[in-house]
Amino acid sequence: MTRLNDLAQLEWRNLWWLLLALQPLAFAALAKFKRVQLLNYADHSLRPWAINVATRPPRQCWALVLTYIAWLALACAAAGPRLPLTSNAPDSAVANTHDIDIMLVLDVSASMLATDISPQRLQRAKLEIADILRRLHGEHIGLIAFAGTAGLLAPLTHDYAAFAHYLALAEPGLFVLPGSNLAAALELAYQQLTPRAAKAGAVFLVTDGEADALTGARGVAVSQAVEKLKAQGVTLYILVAASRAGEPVTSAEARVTRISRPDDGALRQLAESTGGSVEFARDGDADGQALYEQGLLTLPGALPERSNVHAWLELYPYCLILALLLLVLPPEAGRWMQRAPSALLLPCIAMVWLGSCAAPAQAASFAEAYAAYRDKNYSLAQLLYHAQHGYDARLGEGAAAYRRQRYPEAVEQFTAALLNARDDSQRADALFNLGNSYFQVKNYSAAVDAYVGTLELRADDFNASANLAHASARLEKTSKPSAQSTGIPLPRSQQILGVTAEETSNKPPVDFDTTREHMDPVPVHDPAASDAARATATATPDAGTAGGYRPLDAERDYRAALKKLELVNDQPERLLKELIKLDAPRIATPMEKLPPW
Amino acid sequence: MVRGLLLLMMFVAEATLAANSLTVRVDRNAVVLGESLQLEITAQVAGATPPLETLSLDVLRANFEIQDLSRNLQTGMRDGRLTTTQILTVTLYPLRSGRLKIPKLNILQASSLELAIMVQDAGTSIPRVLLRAGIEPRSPHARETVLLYLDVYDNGSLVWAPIEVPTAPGLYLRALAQSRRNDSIDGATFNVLRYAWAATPLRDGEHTLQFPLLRAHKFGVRLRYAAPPLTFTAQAVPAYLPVHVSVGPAPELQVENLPLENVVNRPENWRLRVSGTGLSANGLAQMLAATLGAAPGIQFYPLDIEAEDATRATGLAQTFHVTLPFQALQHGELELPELALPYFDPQRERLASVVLAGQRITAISPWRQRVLWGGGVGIALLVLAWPARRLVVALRRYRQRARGLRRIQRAQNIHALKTALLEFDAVGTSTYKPPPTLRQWLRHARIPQRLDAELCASVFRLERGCYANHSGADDFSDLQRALLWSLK
Repeated sequence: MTRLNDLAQLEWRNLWWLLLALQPLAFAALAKFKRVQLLNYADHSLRPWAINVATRPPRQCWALVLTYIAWLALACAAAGPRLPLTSNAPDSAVANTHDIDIMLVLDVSASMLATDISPQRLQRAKLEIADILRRLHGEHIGLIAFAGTAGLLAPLTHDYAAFAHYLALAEPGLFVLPGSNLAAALELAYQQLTPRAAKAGAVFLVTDGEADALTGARGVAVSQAVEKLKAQGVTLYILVAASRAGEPVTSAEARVTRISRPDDGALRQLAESTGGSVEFARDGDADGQALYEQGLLTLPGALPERSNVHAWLELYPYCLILALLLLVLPPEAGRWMQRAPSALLLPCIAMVWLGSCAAPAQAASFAEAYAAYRDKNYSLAQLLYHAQHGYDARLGEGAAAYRRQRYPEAVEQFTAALLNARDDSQRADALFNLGNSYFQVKNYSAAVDAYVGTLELRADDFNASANLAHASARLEKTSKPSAQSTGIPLPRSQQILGVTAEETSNKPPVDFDTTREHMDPVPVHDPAASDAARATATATPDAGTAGGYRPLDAERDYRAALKKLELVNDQPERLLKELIKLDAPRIATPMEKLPPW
Repeated sequence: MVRGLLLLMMFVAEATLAANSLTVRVDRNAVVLGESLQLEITAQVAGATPPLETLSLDVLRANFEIQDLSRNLQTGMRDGRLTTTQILTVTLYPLRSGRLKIPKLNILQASSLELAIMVQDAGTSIPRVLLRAGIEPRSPHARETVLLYLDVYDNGSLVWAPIEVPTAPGLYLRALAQSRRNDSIDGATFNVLRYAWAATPLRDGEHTLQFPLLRAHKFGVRLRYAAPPLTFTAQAVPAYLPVHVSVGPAPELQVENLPLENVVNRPENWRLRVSGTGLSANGLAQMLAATLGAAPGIQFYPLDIEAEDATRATGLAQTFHVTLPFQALQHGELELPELALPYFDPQRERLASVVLAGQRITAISPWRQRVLWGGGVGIALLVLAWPARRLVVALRRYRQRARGLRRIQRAQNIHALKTALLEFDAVGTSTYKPPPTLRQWLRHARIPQRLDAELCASVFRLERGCYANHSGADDFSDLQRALLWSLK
């Protein structure tokens, strides 16, 4: 369902159709004009003899109102109200966009390591941010972390995955100088938001609200920074990741222990001066809802650029349903309305219910997915299996993808099934299907390995033996150098597991035993197809070829590079730390020594 | 004419050969393995071009490691012609013991003499050093992490500098801590210093690893030793095996911390400890994400993996601390999903999994707890209130009866006795109103069956006494006792 906040971006397909709403008024004016003309036909005293006035009783006021509302709804439906659905990434789903800039300022000072809220202040802050990240509607979001100084970890971006990556790196170790320099962080946020002042902006501060950081000269500096944000029209929302009671924190350097407690009043004053609000981290979604749904989301967002609009959410059915309901109401309904005005809610509730019916279906069970597979609705089956977890789901999704001839997806899912398998029988099933999928993408080396693996786990598997012989023959044939195989290799993105996309798209007709995709709960078996496959496959496996693993050189190099990437630790924390050190002189430094928490 | 031309050519050639010369000499002809020697190459040519710039020293690399180079260039007039003399001083370390040759060097039609250097295994001040490199196991699989070592045998008198991590294409090395031990070879005792690395061949096939020169010193003498290259062959793993799946023995998966009692909607950490070889934080994250299934009523957040510092580790195994933040979404008994870590067993050459069975946790809802507690307390109070009220009523009735009995006992005459009996609450109700007559009192009185007749008789006697003209004192006392006995 569309949220009321989204209606700020409402557009009309053709606004002139709204003139249709004037139709009842025009009829009323015409009727009145005719009546006046009629009444002028004769003198008042002669009218009863000259004019046969209609005896129809005058219509009820409520009926007139309902009729007018019906016409208004019809006019709205004709004008075509719609909401833009935008997407910034080509592969992401289209959605309503709330185009504002949010600079997230995260406190990573030593006091954030206190554990007065579960599991820890800093970790809780990150989890709360992760929750809010899931709610975002296309806002630009950036990340600033601060302790004794402040540093920009992620500039304003739509790339939430990159944001999440940098969020995970935000740790106290990034900063050499201890303390809570909130003023520097807000100043940095101001600098980041100022160049984009044309858009609405907000600062989302996640801190433990350490009282020491908000008193004295530091408090004055923070107030000045907030004043600058306010002058720029930036709203400040604060999530306090600490309990009201606080917890003792100890500074290892100063060897001092004190209670780290949030200054609720000062924080509230800061936020409310910009029109924002303060929430304490609470169990459940209430804090996130209060700050995002009732805070950030209410800020007016810029209209999305036309180039980003990929689809429209049409709203005319709602108006049309309302109009039809009101028009087919019996004449007595007007009197009912007069007696019980609350009955007006009835069509509204019906409209909302009808609208909610259009919402996507909830995750279905395995049985539904399997039923879709049995009905040969493989697209639906793949979608339904995708929502499930575990070995059976991956095997089912792979089988559905295989049936749709999406072999790279089948390879991916059968590999996942192989990793999720709990016993040798499951592994053998996954390997057999994986072999079939690799065969279809012409990665005969991997297919041979998969069939060999199947036979190691299930030696009497006739189908695996037949397919192994077939794949071995293909492998031997393709391993001979040919004119087509020489030359400059294609970029990696155009290859599928060592085989070019062109080769995959020109695949020959399936002449292979692909009939043993095991589904949950009943394995699928097609005897006719199996017999045909056996007829084309050689029954005796070529042990010499099958025994050795012979991956293509390019594939081996690619896998070696992937493994090296996985093993090499590039230590992004150190890089960020050095960057923050470089940026620190450009940000206001504290005038006095900060307390170490 | 022809003779003249030939004489002229011979004269020019002789003059040229006489001008170009190349001499090679070493500072000593015998060294101990590890020691350096200085090779001085002197070239003199006619003209101003430095002659040794084009000299290739690659021929020396077969037997020696070239450690250092220094050049000296002199230009002057000799016999009225411009000549250039260049001296190249090369510091060489022999790669092996035995008789090593410095081959002829050629430059501008001049050539040097071949020199022979005698390299001994040990000397008077320099001990014998043996270098042995190897891997365990000898024939690893691709992507299997194995132990690569370089053992340095000496008599303990040398101070060895830390060695750089060798690099080789297709091989990933992680330095392990050095270790020392004593060993004996052919009856001779050696002090063995082991440099070790966790080596992961990234692809199958033959791998050759060249070690950098080992540096040592003894009383200020710089020594260099060359370790022999190590060659081994890595076996292939199945091509279908995902890269992030570890190849090696089964990893250990232990639960470090699992809060068994959780609050609904409050994030908690499920901490695991994973130890094994060939693991990486990225690979672990991928494997756990692939196998971590959904659990009804539980929401998982992105996991966090921290590698334990392994700079001082001597073994191949690495330890990772996995934090799985989660929150219970509903109250009651919940089951965490089982975790599986797939790995490729190189012994059996099969894929296997280490499975951590799903564990049960209890999620409590504070609001529900409060409601339940309040309800429980209310019910308990109600349960207690009923017998308490019964007790109070019984107590009140007992006191009321006691008061009534005292009033009967204190009655001085028959009318006072009648009044006291009428006010005696034999019914046990709180709103007791004395009946006007004794018979009515008797009708409402709740009296045990066995005393009914006696009490009736006493009440009738009292009634008769009230209306009699006189009654004796003994009779009154007897009646009073009879009533008290019946009513007690």
